[in-house]
Amino acid sequence: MPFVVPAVVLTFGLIRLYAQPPILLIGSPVLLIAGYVVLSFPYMFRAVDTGLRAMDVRTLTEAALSMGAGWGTILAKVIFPNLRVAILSGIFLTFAIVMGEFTFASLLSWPAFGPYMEEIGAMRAYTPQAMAVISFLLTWASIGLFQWIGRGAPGQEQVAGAH
Amino acid sequence: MAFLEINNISKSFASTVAVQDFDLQVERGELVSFLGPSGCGKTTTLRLVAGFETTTQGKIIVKGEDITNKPPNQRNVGMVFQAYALFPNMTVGGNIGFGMKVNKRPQEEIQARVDELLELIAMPGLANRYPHQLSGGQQQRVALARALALNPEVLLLDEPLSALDAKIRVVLRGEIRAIQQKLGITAIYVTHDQEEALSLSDRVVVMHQGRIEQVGPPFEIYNFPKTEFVANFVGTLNAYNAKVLDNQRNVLSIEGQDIQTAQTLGAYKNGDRVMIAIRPERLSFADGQKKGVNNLACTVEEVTFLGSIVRVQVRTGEKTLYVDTFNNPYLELPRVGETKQLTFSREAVLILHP
Repeated sequence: MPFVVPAVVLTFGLIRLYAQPPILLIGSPVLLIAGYVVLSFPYMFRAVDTGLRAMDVRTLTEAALSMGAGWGTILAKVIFPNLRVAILSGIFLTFAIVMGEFTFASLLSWPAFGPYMEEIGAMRAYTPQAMAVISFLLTWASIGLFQWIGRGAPGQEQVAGAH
Repeated sequence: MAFLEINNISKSFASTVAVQDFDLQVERGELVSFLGPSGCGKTTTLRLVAGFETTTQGKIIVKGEDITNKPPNQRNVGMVFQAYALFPNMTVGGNIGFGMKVNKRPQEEIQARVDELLELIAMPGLANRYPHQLSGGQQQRVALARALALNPEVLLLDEPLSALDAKIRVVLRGEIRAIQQKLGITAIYVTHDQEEALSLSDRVVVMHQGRIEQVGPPFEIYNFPKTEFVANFVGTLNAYNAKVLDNQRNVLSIEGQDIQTAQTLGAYKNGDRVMIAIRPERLSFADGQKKGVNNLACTVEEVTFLGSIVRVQVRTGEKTLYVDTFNNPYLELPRVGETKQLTFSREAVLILHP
């Protein structure tokens, strides 16, 4: 949906729907979070979907089932640990998108990073530049963190012998 | 009562029948192979026993207990997959001990069992390796150890050697058989490789289009195939459409030449057509004027050296036959184009059911 419907249209839809009873959510961060969930969903979905395709979920699940594991154990001990890198890359993409997002936050009147920079930029010369540098550093730090957490993830390459 | 009873099970996927009226009794400690071409229903049957599929009809009974409707994680059935299916995020030790950990066994017991199984698969000291650091053969050994960790009632092996190269396959199949016999575990082994099935099974179940074609020890399956499919699928075969000449003296006619069979033809009328089969190793070339009970004139078309055997392709009338001879350095090979006499015993002529 976020690829097809522009953020402006989505935000006005949300405002129109939730600015009147029975569900009054204008002014609440719930609306902003809901908007960001919709916005980042396809990126998260793609990342996790790629991770799931890279592993043989069905056979791994069956192997765990044959050893007496229940669904909870299979998800926690088999599926999620092997999806770690995919989930992290989804988180990173979501983080980067939300950091740079302007339309939702501005129209819903939340002083998120984008609108705050714009507001400060109207009055001061150097502060927005400093904030731009901070956002740059934040992005690099999150990439570094992602690489660090994802290190030693189970690789597909084989070290020895015939496959 | 047999240890594992598969009572008349069937399985359909929408309008496709994958398994039909499959009935088999497996004794404790027996290794039974399901052999057949792709799509014959052998893996589906195995998955029904494992509980990954539900039966459309019939029952599966282990040690007198009906497990047909039990979920797979309550069946105590060990499974080895073609693609190994080791958990990539766990070490060898973690993989082998996974089932015991799930079953909340004490850590010391898990450790002891992991060490014991690593000894059994001849991989001691590799407990801390990750699957991607092992060769294919080692990974499958670990998968076998993992399946055995919980002392399952039945061990199921789904084409476990298909992803490995030929040499490792031969070594590993011997090891699988030795471990199965040592532990006395009841096992079902699915394969499409006839050599594998014949070499390691107590009994072979040959399947075709979801049905059992024949069940028997490897020797019987190879030497006395009951149907044309079994004869064709297991080993190389010379098949003939023959005419019954004398149903009392068991005489048939092929290509205008009379032959005799040791099997009785009482069920046929004179003039009936029957399918017969002769294995290539039961045929030999007549030495000079010496002739056997059955003789066929032939022309040599091709001589192929296969290492331990020499396969000669000959033509008798419209039909091409194969003749296998054990290799020896002083063997006089027939020349292409040469006319020879084939000779074979009455017992070599097998009557096949359609």
